[in-house]
Amino acid sequence: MEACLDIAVNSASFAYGEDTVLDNIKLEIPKGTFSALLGPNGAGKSTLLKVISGYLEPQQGEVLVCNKRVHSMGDRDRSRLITYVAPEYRSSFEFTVEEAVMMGRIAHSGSIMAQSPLDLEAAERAMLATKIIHLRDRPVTSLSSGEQQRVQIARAICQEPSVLLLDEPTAHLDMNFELEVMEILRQLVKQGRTVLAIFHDVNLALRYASTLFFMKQGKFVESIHPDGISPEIIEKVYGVEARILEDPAGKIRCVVPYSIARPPGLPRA
Amino acid sequence: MGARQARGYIVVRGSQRGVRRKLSPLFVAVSGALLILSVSLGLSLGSVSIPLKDIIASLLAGPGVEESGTEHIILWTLRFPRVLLALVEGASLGVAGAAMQGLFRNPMADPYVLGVSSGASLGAVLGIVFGAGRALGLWALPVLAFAGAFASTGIVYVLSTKNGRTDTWTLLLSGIAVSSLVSALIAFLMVFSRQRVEEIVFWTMGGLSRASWKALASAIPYAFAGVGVLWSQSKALNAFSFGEEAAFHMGVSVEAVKRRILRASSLTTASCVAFTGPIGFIGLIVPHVVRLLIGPDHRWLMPVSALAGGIALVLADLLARTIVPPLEIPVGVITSLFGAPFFLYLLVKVRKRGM
Repeated sequence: MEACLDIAVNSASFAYGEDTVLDNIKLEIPKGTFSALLGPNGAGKSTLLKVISGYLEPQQGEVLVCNKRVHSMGDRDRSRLITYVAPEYRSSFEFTVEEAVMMGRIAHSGSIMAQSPLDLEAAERAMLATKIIHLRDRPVTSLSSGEQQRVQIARAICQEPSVLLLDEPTAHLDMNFELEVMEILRQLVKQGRTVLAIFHDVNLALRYASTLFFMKQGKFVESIHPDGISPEIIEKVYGVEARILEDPAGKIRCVVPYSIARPPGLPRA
Repeated sequence: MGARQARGYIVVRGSQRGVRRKLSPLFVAVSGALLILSVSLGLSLGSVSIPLKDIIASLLAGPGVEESGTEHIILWTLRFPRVLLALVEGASLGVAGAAMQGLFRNPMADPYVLGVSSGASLGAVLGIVFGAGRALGLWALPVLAFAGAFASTGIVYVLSTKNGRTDTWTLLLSGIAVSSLVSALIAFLMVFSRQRVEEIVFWTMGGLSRASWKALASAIPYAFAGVGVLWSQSKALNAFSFGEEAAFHMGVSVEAVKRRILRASSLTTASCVAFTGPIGFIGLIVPHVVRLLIGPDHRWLMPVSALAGGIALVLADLLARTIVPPLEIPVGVITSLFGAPFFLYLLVKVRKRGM
């Protein structure tokens, strides 16, 4: 048996009422890999992550995380295997950064008051990895959105799950923080964790992820290695004419969008 | 760091790496002194002033001593149960308020948002209008009030729960709707029983004049159990601060926690309100003030809110009894009269500090 699967989605379908959002999705992600989920707005990317995380239950099919059915696990057991980070999580009260990061230990420690040295060390490591250690005593409500995003990633790291799901981890971030977050995720993968994240920026995904999954209208249309990117795929997924440029100095490949592709049947203007 | 010490807690970086928030010794000392002071004042002052040394002597002598003076009787039949009930009820309202604000992530929430107070009032008003007191004796009003509180929160809860999931927005909105419906019913009943209006108004404004050992004994089990359950959910409430979905991903059993908190808070509040009528403002203001002083961590917020709520209600009741000597003002009037300006002062001060 080769590398065990950390995420396996078996023919999952999900609908909000009458609207089918996920249509018979099949997905297998091996342990210790960095995968990107891409596609146009409304393709069902966030819903898929929420289904994998256990938050939404698919009407058909099942999701296995580390070979366990995620929807029949207890909340604490599940949260030690998998967690999810969204950019919209904002605190309504003035918890400090360190307190917010320590919330990642809820799934681990039992008693109400106790904070074991193990918990404190996990929080310390997570804050160091995400470079927010200097903010540890600041109220989370006073932080910029980039800093709050890193606090949530630190909380997820502190939780020490095998699988991390991230919904647009680089949203609201400037170029510098964007690369920093990507490096953090790369480090996590090096440590053997599995990362599946939604990106809008195809170029970031090309640089860091080992597999790119493209979704459209609730289905996978392509899953490729970064080398396999082509203008045809971009047109098929986003309806945009694009060129792929190569950075002469290095290995960075870059998608440059040119124009909105003609809808089929319409003559060129 | 200096600013933090002024806020009632200190950050300790001990031998272990990492941080712990601890109440500063000064804060603990001041709170303890305030508790002792307020209880002593509550026991000592009133229509008859009793010096502290007589209170201690009477306490040591125990309840059942005969041929003792009126002071002894006043203490053991009136003031001890009254001050203790104020402590228990203030503590319960403080903790229930903290839990509700945490659950709804809303600083406007208080223990009455689910209709506990209006439901209890309707129960008591029905009892007053139909003369249940004559038929069932002293226990009629508390039992009816408790039943009313339970019925209205039950309706609110059922309306907001679908497929085992309770929606907090629906809870908040149906709580408001049910409360105003019930208030309308109370007003309707008042129109048709003019001769009872004074009694009704007095009950619905809340007061501790009906305190007794029996009232205390029946409120205490609910208060202790409820406060214990609420405190045990502290970590989950901390996680709720980032939203229910975020709490789910941190490993919190969201629906089970909500159910536990709603039940414990309603039961505790209903058992208090059944005897004293709804006492406003404590459950709203106390958690706020404590949060400003020691931060939002519910593991500390709840016990300190219990202490602060107890102290606040003992002092408010003392003022209610003594401010206009022969008369007793409903304690709810005092809590609002003094609580509201204090609250506004804090709000303005915090905004100036730029937070």
